[in-house]
Amino acid sequence: MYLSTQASPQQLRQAQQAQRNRQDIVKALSHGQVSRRDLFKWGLFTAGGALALKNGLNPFVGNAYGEIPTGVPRSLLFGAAAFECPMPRCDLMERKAISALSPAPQKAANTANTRVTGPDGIVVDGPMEGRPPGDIWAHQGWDLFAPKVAVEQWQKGAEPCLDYNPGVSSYSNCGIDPRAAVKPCFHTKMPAQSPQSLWTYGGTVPPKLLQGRYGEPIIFRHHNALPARVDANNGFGRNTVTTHEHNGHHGAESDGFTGAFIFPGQYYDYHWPIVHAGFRTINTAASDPRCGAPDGYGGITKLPGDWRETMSTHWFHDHMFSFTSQNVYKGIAAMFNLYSSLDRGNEAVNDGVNLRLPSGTAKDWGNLDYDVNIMLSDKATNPDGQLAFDIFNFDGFLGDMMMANLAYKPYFFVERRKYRFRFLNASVSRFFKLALSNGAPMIQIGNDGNLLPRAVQLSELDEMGIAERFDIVIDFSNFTDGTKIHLVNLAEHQDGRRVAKNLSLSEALSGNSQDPCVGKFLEFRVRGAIRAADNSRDFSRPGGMDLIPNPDLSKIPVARQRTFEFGRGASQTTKDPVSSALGPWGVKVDGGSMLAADFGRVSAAPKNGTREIWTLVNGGGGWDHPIHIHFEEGQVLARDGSASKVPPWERGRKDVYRLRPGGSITITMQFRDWGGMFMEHCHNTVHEDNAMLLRWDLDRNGQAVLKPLPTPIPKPTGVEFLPPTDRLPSA
Amino acid sequence: MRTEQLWKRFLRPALVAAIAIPAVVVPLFVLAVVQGATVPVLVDGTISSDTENIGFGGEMTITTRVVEDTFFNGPTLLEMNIDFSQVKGQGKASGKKFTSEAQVIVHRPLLAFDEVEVIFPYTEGNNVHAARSAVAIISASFSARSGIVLTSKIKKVPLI
Repeated sequence: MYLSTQASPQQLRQAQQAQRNRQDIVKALSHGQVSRRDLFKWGLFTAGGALALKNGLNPFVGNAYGEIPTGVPRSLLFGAAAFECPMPRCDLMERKAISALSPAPQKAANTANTRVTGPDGIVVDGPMEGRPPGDIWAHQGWDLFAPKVAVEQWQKGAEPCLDYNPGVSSYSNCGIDPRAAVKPCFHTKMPAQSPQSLWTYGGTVPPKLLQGRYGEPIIFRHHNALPARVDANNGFGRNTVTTHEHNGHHGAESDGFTGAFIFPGQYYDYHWPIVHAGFRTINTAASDPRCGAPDGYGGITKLPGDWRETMSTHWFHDHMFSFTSQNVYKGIAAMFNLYSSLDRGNEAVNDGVNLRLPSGTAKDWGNLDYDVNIMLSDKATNPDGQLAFDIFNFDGFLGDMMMANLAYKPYFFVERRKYRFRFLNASVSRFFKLALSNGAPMIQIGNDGNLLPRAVQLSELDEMGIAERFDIVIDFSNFTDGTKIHLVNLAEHQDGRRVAKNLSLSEALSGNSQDPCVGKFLEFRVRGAIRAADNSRDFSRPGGMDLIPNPDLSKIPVARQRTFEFGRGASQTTKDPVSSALGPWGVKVDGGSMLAADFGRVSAAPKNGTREIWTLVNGGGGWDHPIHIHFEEGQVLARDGSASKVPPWERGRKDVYRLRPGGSITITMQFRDWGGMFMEHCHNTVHEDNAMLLRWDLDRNGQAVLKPLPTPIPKPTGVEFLPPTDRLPSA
Repeated sequence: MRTEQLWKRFLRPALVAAIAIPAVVVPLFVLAVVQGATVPVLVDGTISSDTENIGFGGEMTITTRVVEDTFFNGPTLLEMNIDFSQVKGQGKASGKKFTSEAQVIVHRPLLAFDEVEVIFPYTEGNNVHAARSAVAIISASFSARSGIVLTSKIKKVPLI
């Protein structure tokens, strides 16, 4: 993977040359000078999807000095060392009044003209909102769930953060002064990222966090303020974007469909109603306080729906077709906490409903003092310290620098009490397996942002796939002032296909692994002083581990069973230049052919109001896939065909399903409330982009819409609609 | 490097090669997974906690799965799903009883012999906030003839 620190100067030079050559081709590809299809045709990509074995291109090819793969040079650290810099809290997104938006948001896309930049850099007249126009992409539930909060974000290149708002005092944020400008860098000794290298919400670091409440619909206005020129990207990343609210239960027009992207100069209004699933049929009178939201005054606003569908930790990220890995790696990712009457972010409200998870007490909801979002990722840089990416390896991309909230191996001060950590794996291809350096137990309370039916105490967590979220409670009360405890990664990779080996704690701490991201990466520094009493939940009392039970689906008849196999050797049956992708990865539906992605192809079409059972199969033993199904959460029924093999931390609701090498997982989902076109894909985003993704359509509760839905094909001058390129028998 | 140079150095030779060698190999593979039995593995060991020695007994339940990588011919993988719910501990002095509800899943390259260390928490009753951890060392021997043979012992988590 990465060159050993003992590599010879000759090996290093050869690897550097190979890396430069690869970067040149990556640049040509990302600038649109050549296409992925061209590279396949020219033989630079093999049919199996690997980079052609040409010396001077592929640094993994045995070189003149022997058959030892040269790997690639490690990122320079510029003198930075681990645990020198604090981990910054996420930067809160501003919540505004709807009236602050200009122009005002509307149900169907605003097609008034503005100046839009096309891929060739030419500015044309095009619609100011890039959302596909017309009824099909008009916001569902617009009148029922009229937006109450506006969040407006500009996607742009890196710049200093001048208005950092961590939502906590400086004391709870490692002493960071929020009035000081935050440079867009991973460590104070590392160079600032250029506007072409790092693209984030607002262009700033730390990563953003949005706080939302059930019953408080949000308009998320996403402006594309990325560089107008497609080649102003430091070699990778595409300046067209679409935002997926990961695990959102929203209409498809607000899901961030991969083919509904916008160009520089446009915006897209996403309508996130923030509802409890089942609101049309369950608890419609809104009489159950467990299905509710903090009212701002210590009470509960009761809402319709199923309280057992309450969600807590989401994130949102780019979903640009064929470029998701590059764009998310470049920084287009943020976290999103949802607050409810059960999980209100106030540990002191003792109303018999609130689960009183570690958070704080100053505000009625959304306290972050002891509730910490941590976005984990691995990054790599080129010799000048700018983010680097390698699209040539279809196995997956691995960085060699561990980041927590985009800070390189930071430290974080904690008080002697319980904390909730919301971990997100925001990597491209890397899995993590977390433990504390002293082996201390942790309590896992949530998986994929859903509080578990029963919390689980563990001393080492399960592997965490890309896009999975683990909510963990760590109790620091047993440690003395000045204690340093480290978070350790036990998952050793040799490539981006899967974890090569789960190390023991002693192996991970030994420093012997060649994987630079194994071992300690975050230092907790325990402070003796406790500034406020710990009012949070006592997990040791009777029932203390019980959180949110699963919705009971057993009485809903199963309308259909489907099987999706994820593997290699995909073929492409369509040739649409925009919607069809090429790549080695693909999905086989119900025993059909292994197909490469085409967002114009409909691969499944469940019926609204039904329940189905889906079995997701890993077609190989040499790789793992974290499979994400949009829109509806599932309950895991079995692993490898056996219910008893479902571990306790997977017995809640999930939206990302790690298949494990050679494994399978069977889930059940019900489809309801909203409709449209959704996706299912591997969240190893390199696999997704090359081309392990499919589209499935869901009807809209019997409403009259075209079936199958026409495919949007965005252009700077407006969105065209085309009939689906293909419709599988399973649809 | 400019686009012309890129074309000359890589793309044109590659194009020539692609024309000359038009072989397209569609990879075929057979998925090979051997699902092992779920076996009890006896636990035996004593650790010294902050206050007293704790003797552990009972058994771990371990389910194994051997996964071949027939596509890339990568290392064969051993998956172990280790369930600690039948492991019992008892304080040598106090007689206090300790249990665990933990499971650990590990993936390791399959070797003729591997010593796998995993950490698990144990508590007295429901007192999860006073939980401590111990290390289970599982010796996994593999041969084509006898399959996977597992033994275990328990030790204290080393102070780090």
